[in-house]
Amino acid sequence: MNPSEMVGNSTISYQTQWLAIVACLVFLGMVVYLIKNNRLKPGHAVVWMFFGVGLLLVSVFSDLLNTVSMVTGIYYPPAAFFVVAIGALVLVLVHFSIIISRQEKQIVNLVQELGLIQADGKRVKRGKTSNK
Amino acid sequence: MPRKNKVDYSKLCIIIPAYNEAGSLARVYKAIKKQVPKARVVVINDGSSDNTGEVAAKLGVVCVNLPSNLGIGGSVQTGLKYAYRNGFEYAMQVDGDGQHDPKFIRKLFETAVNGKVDLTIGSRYIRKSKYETGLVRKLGINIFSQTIFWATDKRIRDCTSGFRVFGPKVIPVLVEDYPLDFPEPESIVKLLRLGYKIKEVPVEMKRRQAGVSSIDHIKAIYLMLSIPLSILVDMLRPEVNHESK
Repeated sequence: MNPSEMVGNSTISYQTQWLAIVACLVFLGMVVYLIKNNRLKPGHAVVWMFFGVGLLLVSVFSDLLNTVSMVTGIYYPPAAFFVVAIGALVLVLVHFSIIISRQEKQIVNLVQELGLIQADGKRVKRGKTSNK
Repeated sequence: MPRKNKVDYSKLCIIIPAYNEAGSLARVYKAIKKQVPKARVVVINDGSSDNTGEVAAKLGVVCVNLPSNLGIGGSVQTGLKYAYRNGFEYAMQVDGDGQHDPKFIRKLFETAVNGKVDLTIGSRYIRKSKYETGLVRKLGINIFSQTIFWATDKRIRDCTSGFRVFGPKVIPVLVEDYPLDFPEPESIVKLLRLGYKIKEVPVEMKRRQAGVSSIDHIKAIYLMLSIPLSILVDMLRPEVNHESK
């Protein structure tokens, strides 16, 4: 790779940077599209928005990556990117685990209540029939 | 020894969690009714794909048909909700597969009432029992028992027994929050941590009469690893007694 094609002091080429920026914009566009079509709840979308905007910032200001790698002592800046990205993804997964746990409780409760209401209804119906 | 008082069986609601137990349900129900005719029996049909619900309807027993399969924890909690809302003081779990001998219902209930026990467990391992436990299962139960001992300082020999009587103090607590992943050992730890009284009573259990055991060997190994871990993770949660009285 010709060093003149590199972005400032960064180890990322202009080509890669543009690719990353376009990918982030497509990702953010996809999130907005899913919200507009009611397929993604805004509450959940916020997490992905943060994720997308974070990646976009790193792509636009590629020196950020150098700073992060210097501060954290990571020798190879792209590795710093993977550390940050994997860390963010783990947080997103924990966030969804919390939501799944809550929803599991709600579903169990709903199924139980539905069964109990139906059993009650049958008993009332039987009682009415036998009173006639 | 608890003083022997006359016990009122009309205060007892017997919960039969049933998942695909059409083959054994009628026999189990009749055997229970023969022992305790005054007790209310409720079948929790846990989203069975066979005709468990129809068998229950033919028997004329109260049947709660759950629209999807919740597992044993969700079924028992449904039964506890039913018992609580219908004013029963005691609830007893008796499996629908015929493993639990209804002959011991009276003994368990009398211990619960006369001994003021909050959770009475029908145990296979207090006295030498005819019940043959497989090696893997036995090892698993020993590991769970040891974990419960570490966590609560109490020795419960048969911590996976589903033959249990819930007393008036613990029913509202478990209606509010019943462990769903590994209900038997986890509920024991929960109640011990809240300071409730648990007692084991020796019982005999039979082999399954019909249906397929839900626990195969691979699952047993998985359970052996995950139940102790789950109990220890549970210890991180603060248990607060919300009992109103």
